[in-house]
Amino acid sequence: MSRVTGNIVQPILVRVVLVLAALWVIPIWLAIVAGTKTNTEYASTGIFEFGTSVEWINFGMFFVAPFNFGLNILNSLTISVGAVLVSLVIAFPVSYAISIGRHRLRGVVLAVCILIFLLPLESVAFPIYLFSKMIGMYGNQGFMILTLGITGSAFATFLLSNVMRHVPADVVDAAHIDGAGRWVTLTRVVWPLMLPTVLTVALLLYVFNWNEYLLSLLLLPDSSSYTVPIAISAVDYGQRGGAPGQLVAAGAVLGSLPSLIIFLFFQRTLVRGITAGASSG
Amino acid sequence: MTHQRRGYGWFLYPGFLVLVIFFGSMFVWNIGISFLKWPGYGPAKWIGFDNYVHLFDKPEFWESWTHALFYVVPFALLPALIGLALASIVYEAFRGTISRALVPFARAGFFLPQIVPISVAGLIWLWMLDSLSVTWLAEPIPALLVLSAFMFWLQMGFAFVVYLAGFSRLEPALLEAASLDGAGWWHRLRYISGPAVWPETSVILVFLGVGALKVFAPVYYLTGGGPYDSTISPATYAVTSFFGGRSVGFASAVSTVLALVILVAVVTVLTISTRLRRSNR
Repeated sequence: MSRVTGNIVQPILVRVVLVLAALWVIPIWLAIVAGTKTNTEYASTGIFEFGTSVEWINFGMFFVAPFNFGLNILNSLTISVGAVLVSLVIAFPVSYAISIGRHRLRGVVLAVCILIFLLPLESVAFPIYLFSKMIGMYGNQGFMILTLGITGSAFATFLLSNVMRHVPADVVDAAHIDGAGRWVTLTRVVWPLMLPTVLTVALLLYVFNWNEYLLSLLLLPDSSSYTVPIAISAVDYGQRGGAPGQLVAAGAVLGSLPSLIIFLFFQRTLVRGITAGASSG
Repeated sequence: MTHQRRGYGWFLYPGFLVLVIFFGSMFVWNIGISFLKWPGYGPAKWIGFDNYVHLFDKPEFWESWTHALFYVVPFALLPALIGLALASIVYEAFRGTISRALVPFARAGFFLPQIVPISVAGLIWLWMLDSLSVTWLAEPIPALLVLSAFMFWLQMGFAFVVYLAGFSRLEPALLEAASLDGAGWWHRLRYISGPAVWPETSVILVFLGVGALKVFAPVYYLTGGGPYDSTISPATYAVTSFFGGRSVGFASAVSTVLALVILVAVVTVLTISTRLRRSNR
């Protein structure tokens, strides 16, 4: 299917869609504009107006005292990446057992994963908070990583096993005939085949983790351990002594940047991941 | 031929048990707390179902559930409907010769709000409202409508992206033939492309519908549940009860009810859809 004789939808409809897509981006665009205004222009112009110059320095200002936004970004990076690793370490072997190994608990595992994924985090968040205090891990980054990682592993198992199901049985059987055990088959045969999917799952989880708010709110009380979303909302509420608006805007843009970049570069990959989850019903 | 595969338990049980034990114990713990009169510290007193009795007497509780049901419209139904319409236009217009670069553009535009941290998105919306000099968030009904617009802006991209991927299964020639036979865009959507993406529709509706019932971040970061509790959701009600120092037991009761409602809703929907699928065969 290459040549299309003509456009079968009204051109006006197409224009409506494109205008809408542009409209959808406006709030983000406004934040960039606001984040590059000077202090006086921020005060004198509305958010819908442009400034006369572009103050890239605003982005730098956020990294020095009193904001030290670099620390928040580092926190978010550590937690997001760490939790992705935890999720994969849990999810990959489980997916291997139920997809390649066709373990008899396959249905149960998938049902549990979907349920955990759909149930509100609020129904476990309070005990997690109390548990962290009980074992002296309140405010501990490692505890946050483990919690977030375990939470994400339900979604990861669901996605990974969905795709792993399509690894041909012959490939696995051939490896077994060649004398490869289950462990060697996992590391040498299935893992390389699954690498694109693993990357997809990792990126999706990374974006989820980067934007996570409830557990960060409950488990990380000190401003030095704040993640990016919490730090930005804390600035908003003036907890850091009324930040100049253009700097907050710059920080908001900076804080979105890591997941934005991933999205723009890996759009197709991410979309494939989302739809792999959706199309399995 | 798939022979019986054994010995995969070692791959399954460690990860799966971590997941089940962690979530199971936290979930049960949360239910346990809901039977306590406990401010979060010091001695706790077993009071049976008193928290629940107390909860059902609270107008805020019923308000939060009225809102949750209302949020299904801007959070799930409208995104699914509009996402389907827009995806169908984009798919039909760009499936052939016209520059395909516009597809990623539309996709990125609509999906962007899903990528930006909700605290950041909320902040930008607050600025926009501020700059328009409107006080919609100060009045109950306008606040509910602004929040609805915010939710729709956030979630439409998800439905759009999933539908767009779903349409890629379609045979373009079928749509062209229908077009030549005089079927307009609406008829093609109604009778050909719409029914073909039924699996996507059910996933989107379950996923976003559940998301609406348990919505937290959009409410928390745009209105904070106010003014006068006019936008609270069950999840924000639970979290603010927890932090508000009213009672940890009470907050746990709120989140337990939320979890049970979602559990019942999901099991009902899955049972009905499986029955329907079976009877159609």
